Amino acid sequence: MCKKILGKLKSEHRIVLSALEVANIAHQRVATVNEVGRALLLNNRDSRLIKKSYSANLNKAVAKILEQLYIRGIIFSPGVIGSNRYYGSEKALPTQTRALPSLTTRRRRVLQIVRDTALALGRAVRTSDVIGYAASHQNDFDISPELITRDILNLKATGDLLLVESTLRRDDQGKNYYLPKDIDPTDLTSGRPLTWLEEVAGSFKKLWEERVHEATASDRLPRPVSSGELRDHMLALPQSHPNLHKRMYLVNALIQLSRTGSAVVKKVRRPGQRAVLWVLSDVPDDKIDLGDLFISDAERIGEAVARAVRRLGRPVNVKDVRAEVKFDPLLCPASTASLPSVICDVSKVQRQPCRQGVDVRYSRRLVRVFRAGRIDNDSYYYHTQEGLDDAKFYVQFEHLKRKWHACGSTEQLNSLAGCAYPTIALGRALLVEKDAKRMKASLERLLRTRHGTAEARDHAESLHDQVRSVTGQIQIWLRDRPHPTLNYLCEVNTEIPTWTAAELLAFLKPFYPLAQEITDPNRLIRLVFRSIRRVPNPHFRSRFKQSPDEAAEYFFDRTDALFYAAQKWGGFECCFQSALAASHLGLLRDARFIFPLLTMNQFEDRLTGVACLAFLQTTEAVERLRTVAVKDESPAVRGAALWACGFIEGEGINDLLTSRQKDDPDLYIREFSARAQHIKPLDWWTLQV
Amino acid sequence: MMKEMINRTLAVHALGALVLWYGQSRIGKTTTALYMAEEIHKQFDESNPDTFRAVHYEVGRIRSGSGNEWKRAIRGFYQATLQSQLDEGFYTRNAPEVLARQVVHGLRRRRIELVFVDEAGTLSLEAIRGLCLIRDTAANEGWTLTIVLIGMDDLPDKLIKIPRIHLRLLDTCHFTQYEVEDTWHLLEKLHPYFAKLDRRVKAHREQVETVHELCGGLPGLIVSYIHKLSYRLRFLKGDADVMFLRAVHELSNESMMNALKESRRVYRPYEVVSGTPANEGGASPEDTATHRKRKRSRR
Repeated sequence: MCKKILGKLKSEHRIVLSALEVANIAHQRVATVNEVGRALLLNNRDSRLIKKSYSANLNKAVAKILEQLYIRGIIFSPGVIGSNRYYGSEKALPTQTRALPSLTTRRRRVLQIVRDTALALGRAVRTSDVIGYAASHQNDFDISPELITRDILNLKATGDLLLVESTLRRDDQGKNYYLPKDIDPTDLTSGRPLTWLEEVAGSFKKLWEERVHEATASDRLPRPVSSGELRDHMLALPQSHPNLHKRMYLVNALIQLSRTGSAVVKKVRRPGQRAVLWVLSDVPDDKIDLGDLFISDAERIGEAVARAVRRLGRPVNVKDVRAEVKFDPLLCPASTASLPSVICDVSKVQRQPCRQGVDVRYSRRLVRVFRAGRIDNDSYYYHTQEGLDDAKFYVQFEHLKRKWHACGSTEQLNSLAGCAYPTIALGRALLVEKDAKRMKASLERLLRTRHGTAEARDHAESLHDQVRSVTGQIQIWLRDRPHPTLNYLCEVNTEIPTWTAAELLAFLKPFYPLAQEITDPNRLIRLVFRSIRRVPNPHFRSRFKQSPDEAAEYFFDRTDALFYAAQKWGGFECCFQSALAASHLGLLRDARFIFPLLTMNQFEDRLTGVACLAFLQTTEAVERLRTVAVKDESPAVRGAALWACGFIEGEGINDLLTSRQKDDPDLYIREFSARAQHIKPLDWWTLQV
Repeated sequence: MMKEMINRTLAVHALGALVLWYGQSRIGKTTTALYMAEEIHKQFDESNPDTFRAVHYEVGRIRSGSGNEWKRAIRGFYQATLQSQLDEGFYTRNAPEVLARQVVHGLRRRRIELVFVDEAGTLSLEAIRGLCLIRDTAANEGWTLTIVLIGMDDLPDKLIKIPRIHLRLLDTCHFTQYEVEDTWHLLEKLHPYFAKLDRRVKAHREQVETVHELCGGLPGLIVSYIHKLSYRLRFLKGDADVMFLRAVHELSNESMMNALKESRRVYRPYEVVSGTPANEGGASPEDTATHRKRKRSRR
């Protein structure tokens, strides 16, 4: 072909000729119209020019141009294969590569893909394996997945492919495995298990064999297998299946295995329990052992609570359940959570677990443990719905009983006779009367519910009698009291000055080294538990409330906290006054009953009054103490009152100290006043009068 | 005798002393102590710094080797003298010397300078050391404190074992039995019948001597005897004589013998009442031997 002819070609024809040369060089053979079209698309400008020049689509235009070029003898064509004519450019192809390419049908090529896939995997292959292999070698096999599937089925029909085996499936339509007929199936047997179901079935059989072996060794029947145990068994294998990460997949697999035409496993259901167990389908029911078998922690805890309730005949707390678990180690929960949290979790009727960051709320269908209530900080549980009201009665009664003992009304009543001061005795008596009346009303309300076992009701009745007796006695005492002139004090204030845990922590931090390390006030409760009296918070709503006044179930009695700190870190004067006040005050916190002591004749009585007011610390008490510090005739009482004022107010009494330094007739008091003016508030705790 | 003991005790009080009062039972130690405390209390004036107060208390037994005897004795002292409970935590946490300082502080605040520790013989040596520590602490802190240890005849034997205490005893007051003359004085004050008696009449002298003999010169027994006699005199027609006085004594004595016979117990009376045979009416030596055998076999 001479340059002269080429120079006469249209630009579009020259472009297609160049594309043909590209395709020839790329394939190293003659090319079809499609291949030339793909080569043309590599250059956007050329392809756009062709599309612009011709109204037909690109491949048709290219075919026309190639035909014209062939007629004019610019290119050659060795022939046609199927519906495709092959073209070549003499410039691009050497002489030996100008023939037609060797012809292979698609079905043959698919057969070749199947063969290659089987050799690569070393086993019989499924259609999906072949499609996957073809996709990974796209340059060699450009056949669509649908055609591969169709060709495989055709090849099976013609006998070129052999169906070697099929997998398990619920509807008996399992996956098929093929091999070309020229490959010996024994050479490339597919290793079992091939599928998830087969893996589950195989593991189950192995586990069941182990169970049977163990049972035979210990001369008993084998126990059924739970899905959890099977999962643990499969997870222990060297290569665990990825489906095991979700429990439900395994349960679904077992369900499918139990419903196939030739079922591998069967379900075992137990009365009263929700968890399903599994055995091999050919094992008869009388050859399995179902006694004392607990599948979940819920079952274990449910049984432990039921046993403890039967043994003790009352609702049980965590301590009782723990004792029951110690008796029978089978009841020990398998989870790593603590026993109280497991029991608490099992007793929840509404649950809200978090799954993949989403809270799922649902109701528990089978409730094994019921929460009967709480006594102090111990929750009590019961095992059935039927006796739950009786159990709640028991818990409420025990709560009231402890509250009654905590009031110490009986002791307070007995100690009234030994109480040295009539006003304090009167205050304490009124306190006892109020507590007894409140308790009587609570007990009567409880007894009116008509719940409770006979034994619990007996105990409640006897406590009610005791409370009634105390009420009667205290009313007689109040009627015939030794000093009936104290009529102006006819009612005691039961409001107790309190501190929250945070306030107490802030108070204790300067003294208590352990408290200095604490940042969370709740941790303080453990440190001072039983050392400082706690009183119920009347405004308590929920421990999750933001406000500490509503979130704290108990407050600390401020006076008791001051006694505790005084005895632990106070100096001699502080200790002396706190011991004196604690001995006489008892549980009385109403300062009005102390004021009469300040006007008594004996200096010891006035000293006691000063000590009591020093630890009650009301506003009125401070005023009275200031008066005593100035006007009392006894230097000992004046000194004690000065110390008490400083103890309460700190630097706020400097004016009083200055005046006492000048005006007090007693030398010791003047010296003390001078010394005390320059000390810090905390030093009052250790200051000696 | 009572006044003498009081004066002797007050004489050494300024030194902050340990004083021992000892003597047999019913001889009047406790009565003297209570009387003295009451008198001191009467004299007490809040505004007068020279007056002070006294406290009497009776200790419970602290066995030797029972542990923490020092602290237990100090706690008992604190609670009895200061009339308030010592905090359990404070007691547990602190050493005896701190407890002693706390006690002294309380005594100073209440202006107590004299403390009678009754039945001190029941305390162990270590517990007595604890009491001595309080006194020493008070002395060091400049507070005058006299502790009077009251006990029976074994108390001096006990104290002599501890030179530290024995040498600190500034006075030892031995309470002895009354002479006949003292008994007469006491009887005169106790009952109008004896007030009428004439010392020159032999029969009257014999009656007083009989009472003295029956009660062994112990004022405690004399007082109780007078109460019994007073009851019997209500039914007597005519004048009392020696026989009557003896009969009053024997009546209660015989009742005691019979009661002990009933309960099959050996009667071992306290040998202070002269003329009261120890075995009379009680178990025979054979019975005693049998009793001992039974006791051994029980062990």
